[in-house]
Amino acid sequence: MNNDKEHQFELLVREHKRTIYTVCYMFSHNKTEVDDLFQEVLIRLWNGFDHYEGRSSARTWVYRVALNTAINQDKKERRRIETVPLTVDIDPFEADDSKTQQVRKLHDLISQLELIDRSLVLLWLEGISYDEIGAIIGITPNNVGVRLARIKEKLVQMSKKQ
Amino acid sequence: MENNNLNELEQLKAQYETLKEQLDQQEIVNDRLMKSSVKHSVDFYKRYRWLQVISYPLMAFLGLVFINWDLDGSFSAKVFWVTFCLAGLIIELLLTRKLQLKTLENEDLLTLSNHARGFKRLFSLFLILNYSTVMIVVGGFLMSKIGEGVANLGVAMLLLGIVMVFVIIVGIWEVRFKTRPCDEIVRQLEAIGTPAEKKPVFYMNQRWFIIAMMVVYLGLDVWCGYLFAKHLKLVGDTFRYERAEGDFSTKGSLEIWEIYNLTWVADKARFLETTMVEDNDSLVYRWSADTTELALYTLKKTTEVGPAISSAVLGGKPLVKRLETGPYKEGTFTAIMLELMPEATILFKRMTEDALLQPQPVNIAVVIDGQVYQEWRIANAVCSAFFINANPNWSKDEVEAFCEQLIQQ
Repeated sequence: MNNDKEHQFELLVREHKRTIYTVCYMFSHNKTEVDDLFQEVLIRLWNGFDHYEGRSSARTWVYRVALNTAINQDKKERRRIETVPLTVDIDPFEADDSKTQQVRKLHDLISQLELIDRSLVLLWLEGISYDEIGAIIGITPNNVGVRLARIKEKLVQMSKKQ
Repeated sequence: MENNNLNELEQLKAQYETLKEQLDQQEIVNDRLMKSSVKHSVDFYKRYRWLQVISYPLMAFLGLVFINWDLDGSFSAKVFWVTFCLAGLIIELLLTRKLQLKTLENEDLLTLSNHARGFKRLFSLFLILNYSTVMIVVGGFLMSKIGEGVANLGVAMLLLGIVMVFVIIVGIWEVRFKTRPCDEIVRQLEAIGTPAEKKPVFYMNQRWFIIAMMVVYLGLDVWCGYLFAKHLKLVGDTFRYERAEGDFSTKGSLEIWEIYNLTWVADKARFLETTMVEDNDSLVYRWSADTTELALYTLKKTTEVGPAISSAVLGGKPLVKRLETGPYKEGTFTAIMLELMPEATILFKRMTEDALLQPQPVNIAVVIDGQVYQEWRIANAVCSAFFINANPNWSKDEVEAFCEQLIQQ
């Protein structure tokens, strides 16, 4: 029974690994922090797995837990267990190829935003509907629209300055 | 301009797509990571509960060791301490269970942040209450040591002050520091606008549960302070006696006299040798009960039998209806409040009212078994009760015996 649950959990994680990594990347400053945060998100997901019950889509739930962890988690708390390195052969913080440089520009830009704005812009870039964003963050879709309009304006200004 | 902005945003989207492309080619998750995450899935609240399960028995054990060492193994102190620790443990375990904190991981960001903030505030309040208990215990302990000459009042007060400052600083720090990240998130979210669904931080039944737990905890704190203070003899025993309905029996002699004159005497025998002291029609002489400061009182006869008020004046009826002492503490005066019977009250009131009309101040004396026990100046009309002080050198049993003697008057 437990193995079955673990198997299902593993399937869910593998399906949404990119989503989790993206959140961790946007809320971290180096590769180690990404690894730490990724593991913490997995622990939170596992803890909440019993209570998930499929009330919302799996993607919405994964985003909720990942963003809740990234925003609320105390960094000191994360270091209580030995971090297992992720199987990633690129370093989006250090690599010099043109693609990674482009990605890094995006990271640098988003990092300048407040935590909630960072979450909103990330969900918007992912192409998630305002209704779903509202359900993840806890605000109305109208508020999401208004706030995103302001953030986009801010991002454009920041992008021009870069 | 509009197009430029759109281009910038399109560029951001393109950069994001690049990131997705790069990540799609990565394995990211490995078996070791999965196993480690499942194995180490002990969240904060679980660890917090374990901490309580370990720390409360430890606290109970250390307390019992201390009680055996310094409080002569007092059974009541042991029972209290174990109850206190057990209640604290149950309250905290129930609280974390009642709040259903585990399910919060699935809530939206605003709800989670509000809950986290509420819980952290609550937790800080618990800490402040816990520290205050420690402060009461430490305070009581130090105060008890003053009597033993181990600590002096200045040192004790200084230590108490330091503990109090520590409690306040830790309390403020807990609330400010622990809730600051949540405050910031809630502030940012509330700046955006109205929440999708306004959820209360704690549901109604949770709120009442928390308040009830707080009251229980506070009650335990007060109980803790009282028991320790009582055990360490900071709070003394009190005595209370009341004459039974229809009981008019009397025993002994309690009299209230008006003082005519007072003479301080260094040596009683020598004074008697050199001075003629004899009662006459209007005056009587009574020695003070206090042997350290010997005084001879000249008392004025104001009734046919002599004293202004006595059982004899009332035709053999009793004087005292009820008496009650303040807390007994060795080496200090224990105040005894005497409430008079209705007939005695009328006489006493008349006596004090008349005294206030006199051009000179009038002093009265309480005479017990032929010795002046206490005197005071009449400053206002007294109705039905007055205070006398028990001898500070008396033991608790002696004070009790004195009270038993007084109630029979």
